[in-house]
Amino acid sequence: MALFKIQVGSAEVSLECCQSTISEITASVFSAILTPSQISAKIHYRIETKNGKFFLFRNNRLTHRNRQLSRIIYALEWQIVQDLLTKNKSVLKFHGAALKHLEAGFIFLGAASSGKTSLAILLMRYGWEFFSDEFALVDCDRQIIPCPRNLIIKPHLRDKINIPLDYPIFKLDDESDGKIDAHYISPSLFGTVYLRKIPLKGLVFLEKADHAGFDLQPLEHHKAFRILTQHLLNRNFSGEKWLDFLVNLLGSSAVYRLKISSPMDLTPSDSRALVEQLNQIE
Amino acid sequence: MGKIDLDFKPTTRPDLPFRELKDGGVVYEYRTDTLHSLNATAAYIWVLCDGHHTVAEIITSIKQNYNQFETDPTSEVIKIIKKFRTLNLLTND
Repeated sequence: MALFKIQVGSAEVSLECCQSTISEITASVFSAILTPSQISAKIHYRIETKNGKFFLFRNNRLTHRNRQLSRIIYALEWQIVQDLLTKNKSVLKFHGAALKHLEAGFIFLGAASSGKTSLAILLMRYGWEFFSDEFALVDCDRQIIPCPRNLIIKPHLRDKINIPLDYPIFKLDDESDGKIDAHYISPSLFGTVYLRKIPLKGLVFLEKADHAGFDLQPLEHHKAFRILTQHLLNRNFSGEKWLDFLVNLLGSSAVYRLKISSPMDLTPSDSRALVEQLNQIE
Repeated sequence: MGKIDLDFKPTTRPDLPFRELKDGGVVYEYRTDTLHSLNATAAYIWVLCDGHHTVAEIITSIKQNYNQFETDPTSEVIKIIKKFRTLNLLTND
């Protein structure tokens, strides 16, 4: 059996699996930070195989069993995400992607299918560094915490990027399309993953545009605040602490709205123009 | 419930946390988990709805401190205070 650990902020989990499952797991679950380990963490996962079935244990308690390894990895990945989010208590968690340009961090917030993952891939192609997709974590000192979960590549993106042929396929529940096939791709396949904290400099709210191209404009803070709360996943702070966190966050950040239909469908010149404008945010 | 005229002294509910932003403010209502975003004028009025200022005094303050109104802001101020009441953000005094 091989032992790995995954650490995000103050949370750590370990994962034990047999040789026959290693390649699929390391390709799909927090690939950028899954590192070999000698000791188990307080939260410990184990995958066993027996009679053609796979068994997933969390702290020695069976949570899933299935004949398909992909179903087990899907459950494992989601449980690990939940553990890492839950254990990082005094941290704001947003539904968004976080990336770094020079020495500043940016968070891109938007509804499902607004283009966060596509934009993250596009920006990495232009030298931005990756912190996280889906979940952006910010601590009390307004520092972004790296949480490099693998990128979830849905069908509409699959044809626009090169995915290694042997990557496992996962069945996901999608809000608009029901069951879809998706890949969990390591962000390091697209560029650099940054693994230290960095101060938040900008918040960019993605909005679906009904035309080609893009439009990046400053956004009024009182409008941004409302949207920011819609993307905040945890408000379980004592009293009004989360309000103060958010006010502080907005007050110290550049705040923009990006109207864009699909980052991957931008023309090369539009892509360059977008990256240029984002690079110049003060 | 008092009529909103120039002598009325509106008071915001003390249980609603208000936070000032660069260009306005936000009011949060725990009970209903509702967030109200206020633009700069509404946030300014919110602060003056302290039970000590009449609507007339609020209008005067707006005239003195805000250049954005080219015309008389009276109807706009009254509209905003009425909106506060509609949203149940004022006390019932």
